[in-house]
Amino acid sequence: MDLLSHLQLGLSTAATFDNLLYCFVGVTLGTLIGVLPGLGPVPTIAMLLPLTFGMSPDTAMIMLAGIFYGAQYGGSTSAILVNLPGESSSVITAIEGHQLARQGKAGKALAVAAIGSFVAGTIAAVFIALFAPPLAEMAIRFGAPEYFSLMLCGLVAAVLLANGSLLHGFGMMVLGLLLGLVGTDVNSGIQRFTFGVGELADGVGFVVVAMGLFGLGEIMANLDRQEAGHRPASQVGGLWLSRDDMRRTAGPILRGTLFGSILGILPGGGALLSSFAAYSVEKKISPNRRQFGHGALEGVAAPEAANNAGAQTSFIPMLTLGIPSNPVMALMISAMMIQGIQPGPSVMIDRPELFWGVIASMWIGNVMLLVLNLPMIGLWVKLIAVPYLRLYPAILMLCAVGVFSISSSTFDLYLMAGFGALGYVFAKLELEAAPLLLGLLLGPMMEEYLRRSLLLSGGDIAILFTRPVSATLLAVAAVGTVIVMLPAIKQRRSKVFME
Amino acid sequence: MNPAIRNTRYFCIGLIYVASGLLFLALSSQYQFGTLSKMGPGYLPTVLAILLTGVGIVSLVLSFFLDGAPLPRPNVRALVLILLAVCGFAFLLERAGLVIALVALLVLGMAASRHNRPDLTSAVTIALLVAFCGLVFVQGLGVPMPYLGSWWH
Amino acid sequence: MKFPLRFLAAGLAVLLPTAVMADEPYPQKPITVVVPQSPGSVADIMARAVSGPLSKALGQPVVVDNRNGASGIIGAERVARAKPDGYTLFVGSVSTHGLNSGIYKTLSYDPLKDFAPITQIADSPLVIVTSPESQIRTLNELIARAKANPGKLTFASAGNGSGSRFTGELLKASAGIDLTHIPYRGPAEAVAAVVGGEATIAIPSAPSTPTFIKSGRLVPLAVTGTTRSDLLPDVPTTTELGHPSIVFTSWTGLFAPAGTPQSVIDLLYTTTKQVLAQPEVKKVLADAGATPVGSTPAEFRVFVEEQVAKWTKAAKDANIAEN
Repeated sequence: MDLLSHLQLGLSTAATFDNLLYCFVGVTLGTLIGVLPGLGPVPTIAMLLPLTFGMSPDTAMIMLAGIFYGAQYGGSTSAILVNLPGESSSVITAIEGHQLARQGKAGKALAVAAIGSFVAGTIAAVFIALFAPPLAEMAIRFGAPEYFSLMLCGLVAAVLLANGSLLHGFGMMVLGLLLGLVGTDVNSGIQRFTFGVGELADGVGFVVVAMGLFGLGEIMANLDRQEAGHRPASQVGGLWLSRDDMRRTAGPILRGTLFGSILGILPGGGALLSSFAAYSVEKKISPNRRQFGHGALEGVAAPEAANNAGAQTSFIPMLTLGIPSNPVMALMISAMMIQGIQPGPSVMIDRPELFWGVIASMWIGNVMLLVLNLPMIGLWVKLIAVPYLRLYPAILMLCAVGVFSISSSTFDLYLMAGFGALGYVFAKLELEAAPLLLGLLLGPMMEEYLRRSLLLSGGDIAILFTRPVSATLLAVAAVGTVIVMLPAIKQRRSKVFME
Repeated sequence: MNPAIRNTRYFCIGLIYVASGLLFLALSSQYQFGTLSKMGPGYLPTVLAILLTGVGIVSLVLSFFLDGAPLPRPNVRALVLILLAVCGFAFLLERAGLVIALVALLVLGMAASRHNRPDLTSAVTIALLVAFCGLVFVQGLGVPMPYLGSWWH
Repeated sequence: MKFPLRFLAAGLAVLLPTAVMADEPYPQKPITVVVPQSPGSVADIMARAVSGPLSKALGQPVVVDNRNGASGIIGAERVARAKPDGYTLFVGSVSTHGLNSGIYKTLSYDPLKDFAPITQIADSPLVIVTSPESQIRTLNELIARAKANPGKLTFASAGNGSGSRFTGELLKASAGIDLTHIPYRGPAEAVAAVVGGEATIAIPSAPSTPTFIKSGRLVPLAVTGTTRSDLLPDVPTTTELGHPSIVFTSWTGLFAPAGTPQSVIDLLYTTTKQVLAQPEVKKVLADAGATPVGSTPAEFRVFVEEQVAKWTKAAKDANIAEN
């Protein structure tokens, strides 16, 4: 069969000594920069790009790809341990993962994250091998109206995420959308809400906001608890998963993989939405949904699987069509062009060893990550068993240095301090930050797609309802809203009744 | 606080939403609004700002009708010192250099908790963290942070 | 091969403060080349193609620093304010030293006064492309179709102030047609929109198109250079098709901040010129569809002055402005 010979070609390319070595270097470096907050895969790959000059194209691509998905892996570690989501994809992991860590179950959370990512990575690699070309075709037919409707689904998911009041979750999301609009407007090119500050021209940095709200906010909230006599749990229990844990998380991992594999293909934010979507679905359908918000393993398994699967399938548009779905893919394209390979539809035909080699290396890389990360869990868990008094200055330092490392800008540090203060106020008011973060990410994209849809249709809003995919997505969003609203209304009724 | 307000939490959240909504509304007015077919840069911000203000008003109104627990007391010491630590680091990093900026960050940060004492363990912790930072971020990852800043040149 | 982390550390020692002895010859420490566009863009590929051999020739690392955003303004402003010591250089383009002067009423840097031109690196034309599904095969068919359906056809640009936007406006003016302008985030997104059938035409740079044309996903209509492109020898130029006013080449050049010592400028010029003559560099540039130039600082200054004047006027004529 064709597929088998392709996979064989891929494995024989990926399994050469050089490629294995650089795959290992890539995933190790990726894990390291993922664990350290701030510095993400984009600057790292940009820095390493000149080095790939001397490598063969497949080696270069395999190493750079390893950095990318290795960073996704590492990002969840710091999100779980110290509530520092260094990558946008690990925000969701932090919600349940850090709760688990506070209950002394960091080991379990890390193990689920690692195994979930591995399973998802394996399935996604097969998925790419089987369906890459038709899926790319589908992705390219996804127009502005479809994207807008998809983002709307994401926002419904964001409100669904909130554990507290629906009204306030909605407000946080809108505030996030508004913050997302800060910066240069794509359509007109003018700068909005920047007060003439050049650093804001590209918008408010996601990591800056996340580290302020989550990282600094969490430190201040923990210090409060200490004053009040509570100590964050430092006892370590349950390093390994029980049979029951495995059984509970199998379904979420598979569903998360499905979400990630499909949404990851879409250029422009698809991979990101997948972890939100996977989490929201689990929160609704899981038999343990009551545990969500208080440390549910399912809430770690599903988004971790989704973001790892999504990270891999986001290669599809780049490898098959030469269209980058995120900044990392844009860098990969640059790496190919430096090698004299013109990215685009012909890569699969002209350079099959490159295409299939990268895909096969993803699976090998995932095995390496699992082998690399599982033994580390014990070490990580010991690290956070250090008394909080000794631990928090280190977290504070990681926040500060990490944020500076993103774009070497001290302005970002002041901005992070501001969001830290806001995070503390939010914590005191029991407002959840997750909907704000999703709003921040989706705001500019939603606006872009909505405006483009209306520009294309000449101002006719019907374009959103008449295209089948877009209409379906809107229906999903509507049904989602109803599902969210119903219990809330019931609850309010019973509350009123009690009074 | 006004006894008519039964839920301070809803009241404060409402205030935050209304204030940010009105701020964005005022700022958005300087951008072209446009039409539905050709939305200007001011269109969506205006709509969203009105929405946020609306949510805030609902929260304010509800605060007079729903019962709620009083707000926890804020820990001003932690808040102020942590923010001061970060801002101090930002200010000193390029001027005094990484070493001094980090020491300032850590000393201020540690002072945020009453349980920390200026003892030998704290000093050793600071020294270890500074060394770690230099090794990993500056030497290993090449983050452009000068050990000694412009004040020394 | 050595372990890459060490390469990384060495390559990035760049911004560490290194004492510079005043009497020792330039360069004494690593040089940073600011690219105001994202990695993978034409300017970025040019910068990366040149930086490797340049660092070999100068004996100091030459590191590319992408400071993209806001039509290149962020990067340009950074270099305009940098110390004119030759350790911060800039890869400018038709955007930063031409188009922006036409689009922005107030620009935070002066493309002529804040920069010392060193040499023009390369020049590459754009291509007007459509999807085979549009059934349009030639530029004249496009014009005929647009005349029959005013405002119904769309052109995807890489942003409001991008070269593709300007070229689209030149096309509209020259042919007397009405196309609806749809701005996208970048060139790749604009091409994707045409491949996916969302927009009628896009005007990407020549190097990004051959693979799409070969696989039948894009149909080239015209090249916007004065001569045909080596990458697409069968595609006529706009001038051949009777539209001599639609000429747009996306050029890149090396700049230093104004006030950089003349000796440094001259050294950088001669070294870059040698680098551009190297066969490997030539090949990378050719693969990217660009022609190496290597003009003298004086020639380049005149060229930049012409560009700024030309695009300021074009923006006024076509009524392209920050809106």
